[in-house]
Amino acid sequence: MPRPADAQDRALTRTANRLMLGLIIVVSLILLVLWRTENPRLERVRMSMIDTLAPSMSVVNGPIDLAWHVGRDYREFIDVYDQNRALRREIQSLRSWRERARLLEEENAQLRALNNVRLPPRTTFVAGDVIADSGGPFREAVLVNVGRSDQIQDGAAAVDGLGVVGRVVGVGERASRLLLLTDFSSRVPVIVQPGARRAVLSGDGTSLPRLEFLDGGDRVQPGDLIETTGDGGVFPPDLPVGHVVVTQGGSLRASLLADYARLEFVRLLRYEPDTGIDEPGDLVLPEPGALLGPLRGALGVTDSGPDALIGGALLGDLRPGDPGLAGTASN
Amino acid sequence: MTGAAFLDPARIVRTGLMLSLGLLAIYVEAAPLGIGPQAPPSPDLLLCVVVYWTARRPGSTPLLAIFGLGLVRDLLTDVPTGAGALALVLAAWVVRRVRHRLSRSSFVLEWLSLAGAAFATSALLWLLVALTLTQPPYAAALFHQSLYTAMVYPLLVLAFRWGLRITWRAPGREPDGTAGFA
Repeated sequence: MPRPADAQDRALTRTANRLMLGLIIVVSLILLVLWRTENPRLERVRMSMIDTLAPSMSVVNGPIDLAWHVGRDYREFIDVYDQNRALRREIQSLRSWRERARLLEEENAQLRALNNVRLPPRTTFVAGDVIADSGGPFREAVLVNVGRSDQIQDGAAAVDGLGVVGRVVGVGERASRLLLLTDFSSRVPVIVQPGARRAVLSGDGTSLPRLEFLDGGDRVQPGDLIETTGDGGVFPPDLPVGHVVVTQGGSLRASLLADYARLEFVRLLRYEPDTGIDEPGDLVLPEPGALLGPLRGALGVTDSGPDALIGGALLGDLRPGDPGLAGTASN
Repeated sequence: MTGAAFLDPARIVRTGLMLSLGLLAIYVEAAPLGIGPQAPPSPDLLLCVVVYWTARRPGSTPLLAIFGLGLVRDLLTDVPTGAGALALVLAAWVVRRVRHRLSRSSFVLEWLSLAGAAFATSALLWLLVALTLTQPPYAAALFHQSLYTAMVYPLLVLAFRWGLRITWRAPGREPDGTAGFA
């Protein structure tokens, strides 16, 4: 028979449990609101936690990856003969292309030298391992084991050997979070070649992201190449993204070049956009006190007032005897 | 709960073991075995661990620990932060309420309960995301994830029962659980 003290303990425990549940519900809803508003503190907490757990995740992933690859390699081993023949054919065709590319590269270098062409800013990259993916249907994102210590910046483009994979949406010290092009919230300005038609590539949770706001969409053909525009200075221009496909419903979508099924390594690009001139430059004004004494007196330049500054700036590069100086001094 | 039960070393070890297994489940969920929309979604292994342990050792699965595991998973795998943890805690709460009935019934009922919990947590997540005016995922993807969760549960049960010897206890040997402590 239960003692009264035990019954009292249980009642107390149940009450405490209910209070705890209520508290958890409130905290969860607050966190959900912070997530929705993309609170930067929450992102910092996320990235610091990823930084902490990333090494242990790599350790756990080792055996899992091994087992996964053994299974995949076995399946591929069955088709090894056909694959070998296909690869030999491809190598033969690529050899001829390699020679052609070498000739074109030499010719290109000579032409650049002749024209004194200013080369675009250099893009470097860091390669990283994919150590985790979101796994669920809520977000198409992966974690990579390179971060701020490798000079990776928020917004950096990620590519595999074939095309754009996504962009960095969170940087930790040793890990980064990549948003894939297929995610619902992914938007990338692209250009469709030939014709240089601009569009926005919008992820919608499917493997074929939509081409939206396409300029002259009726003249776009299936198979046309999609590249990044470089607008906004986030992605470098001319990175290959995919090819245009037309669905049965007639909408234009992109078949991505990046191979997500075999995404083990990615390159994160370190890109600095070229310096642009957005507005006419202002005159560089020297300090009024920097003018020479006799010149100050002759020109009536004082230390106070905007006129004095303008006068000083105008006269900074003039010398006594210059034609413009007399007129200015007479003022 | 008495102070002796609170400081019971065996219970603290069990809670630590449950947390370790929960973290391992999160790591396996997040392993990059299939990336992109074409890949099948990972099963909700953390839900399986929490349901199994809550049903058999409620005193070693405090709500606060479950909430912590849920938050780690939310942050690591990009589940809407707070929503996944809340769904997990609510599932544990319900399992705690029905665990006596589950202990007296066959495994099939437990399996169906797990499947129900998987579908219910998915539906709650979808609803919470939709309420925040964010694009929720496709219902079919959530359905598949719940289905995979239900399919993988018997394997975990085998591992826990014969690997770790975590089985049902006789009624009365396990307290009703604690509020945030072991």
